[in-house]
Amino acid sequence: MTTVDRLAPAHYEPVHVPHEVRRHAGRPEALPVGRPGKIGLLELGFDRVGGRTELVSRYQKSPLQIMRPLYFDPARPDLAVTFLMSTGGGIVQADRLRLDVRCGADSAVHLTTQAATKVHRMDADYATQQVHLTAADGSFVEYLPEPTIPYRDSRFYQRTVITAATSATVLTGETVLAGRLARGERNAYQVFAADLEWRRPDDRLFALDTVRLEPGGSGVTGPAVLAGHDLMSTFYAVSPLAPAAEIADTLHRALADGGLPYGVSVLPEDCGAWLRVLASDPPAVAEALHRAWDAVRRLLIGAPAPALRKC
Amino acid sequence: MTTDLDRLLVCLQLTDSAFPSGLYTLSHGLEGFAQAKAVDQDSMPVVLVDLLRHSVGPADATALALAHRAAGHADWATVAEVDRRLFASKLNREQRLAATRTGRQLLDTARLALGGEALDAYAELVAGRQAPGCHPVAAGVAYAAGRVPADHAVAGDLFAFAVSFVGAGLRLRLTDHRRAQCILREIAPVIAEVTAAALTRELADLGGCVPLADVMAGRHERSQARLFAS
Repeated sequence: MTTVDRLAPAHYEPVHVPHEVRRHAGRPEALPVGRPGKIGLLELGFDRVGGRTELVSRYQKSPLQIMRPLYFDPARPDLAVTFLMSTGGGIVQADRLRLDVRCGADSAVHLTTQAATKVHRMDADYATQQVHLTAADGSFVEYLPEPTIPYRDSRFYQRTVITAATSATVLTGETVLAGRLARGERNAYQVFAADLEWRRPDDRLFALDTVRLEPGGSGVTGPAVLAGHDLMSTFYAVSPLAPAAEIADTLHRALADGGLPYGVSVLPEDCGAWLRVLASDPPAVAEALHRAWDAVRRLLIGAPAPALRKC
Repeated sequence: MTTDLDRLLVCLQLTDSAFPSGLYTLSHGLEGFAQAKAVDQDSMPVVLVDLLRHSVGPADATALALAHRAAGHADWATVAEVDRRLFASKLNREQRLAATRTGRQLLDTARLALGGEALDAYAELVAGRQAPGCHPVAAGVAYAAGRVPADHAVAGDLFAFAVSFVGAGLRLRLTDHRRAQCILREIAPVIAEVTAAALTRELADLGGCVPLADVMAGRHERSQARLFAS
C-alpha cells in the first residue's frame, strides 16, 4: 500500500477519460494539474473492531479531508458515519481528485458529503474525480453524497468503481442538477460525464451506468434524455439480504405516491435493484430518495434511515 | 457474382425484418412512452433520433462495431469482453432479456444460413457462458462472417433497429405505413452520424445515457397489459 507513488500521474489521473471531456485538455495559466491543492487524495480504511466499525487507516491530501467518524444512528450504533469534506469550496479546473475507501469484513460504514459538490466554471482543462470503494464480506456500506451541481462552462468526469463481495450490501445514489437553478442556469455546463462500475472482487464487471451529458454536442433535453427535467437522481441497492425482485418492489412502492417520473428495475445477475427519477423540484427529489433509502434499509437490515443533520 | 455484391446480399439478409431474430416482439421502449402518454405521432421520430444518438449508437452499435472488428481478427477474448460490458450496461431487465433472446435467435439462424468458423466460435463462447450473447454482438460476428464491411454492418443494423421501432409505432397506432417510410428516409443523416461515431468509439466509452427512457422502461416492466416484450 505505502509503496504507491501517490503523486505520479498514473495514480491521480483516470486510466481513461471520455473523449467528450478529454478534448478540453489544456494547461491553465494559474495552478495547472499537479500544483499544490490540485491533487486531492483521500484514503480511508474501516474495520470492525470489537462491537463497532473504526477508522483504522487514513491518508489525506488537501482539498479532500474528513473529521473523525461519528456514531449516531440509534438503530446501528456500530455504523461509522463519515463526512467527506472539500476545503476548496468546490471542484475547479485541472483538479484531480481520488478517493479510495476500503470497508473491511463485517464493517458498517456510511459515507456522505457535507454539502452539494459544486463544479466551477472552467476555461482551460477539465476536472476529474475517481472513487474506489471496496466492500468486503458481510459489510454494510452506504455512499450517499449530496447532489452535484455543474456550473456554466464546467467539464467534469467522475468515475466510481464499487467492488462488492457477493455477501456485502452497498447502497449508493447520486443526484445531478442541470446547473444553478436559482439563477435560471440550466444545462450550461460543457460536459458532465460519469461512470459507475460495479465489480466483484475478481474484478468482473457486473453492472455499469454511463452518464454522458454534453449540451453543446448531441444535446441533453431530448425526450429520451432529460426531457426538460432539471434533476436526475439514481439510487442503487446491491445486496444478497433480500431477493432482487423484492428490493425492486420496495423501491417502487417507496415512490409510488410521490407523483415524480421514476422507473425501477432489477440489476444484472439479480444482484439488487436500482431506481432512476427525473424531476424539476430539488426538495421533492431529496424527499423521494430519502423514502427509497429508508424503505430499503428497513427491508435489508430492519433499521430506518437516520436523520443526518448537515449545515 | 462479385464479392461486393455477395456482401451486399448478406447485409440485406441480416437486416431484413423477416430474418427470424424476434425483433418484432420489441418496441425498444416506445410502448413505455406510449403508455405514459409521453409520445405522439409528431414526437415519435424525435424519440427515435434520441434513442439512436444516446442509446443504440453509444451502446449497441458501438458493441457491434467492436465485435465485428475483433471477430475479423479471431480475437474472441475481446468479443466476449465487449459482450459482457454491453450486457452490464443494460440496467433494465426487459432490455437484457430482449438483447440475449434476440441475440441467440440471430446466432442460431445465422449459423444455419451463413455458417462459418466465426459464428461457431462465438456460439461456443455463449454456450460456455463466457459471453452473454447480446444481439448486437451476435450481429457483429454474423456480419464479419459474411465479410460485410464494418460501416455497412453498423449502418445496416441501425437501419434494422429503426425499421423495428417504426414497425412498433405502426402497431401502437403512432404512425401509418406511408409516414413510416418518410421517417425512415428522413433519419438517414442521423444513422450516418451515429455510424461514424460508433466506428471510432472506444470500449471504455461503451454505454448509453437515456435517463427518461430508463424511467419508461422501468414503468413498462410493471405495466399490466402490453403488446411488446420491451
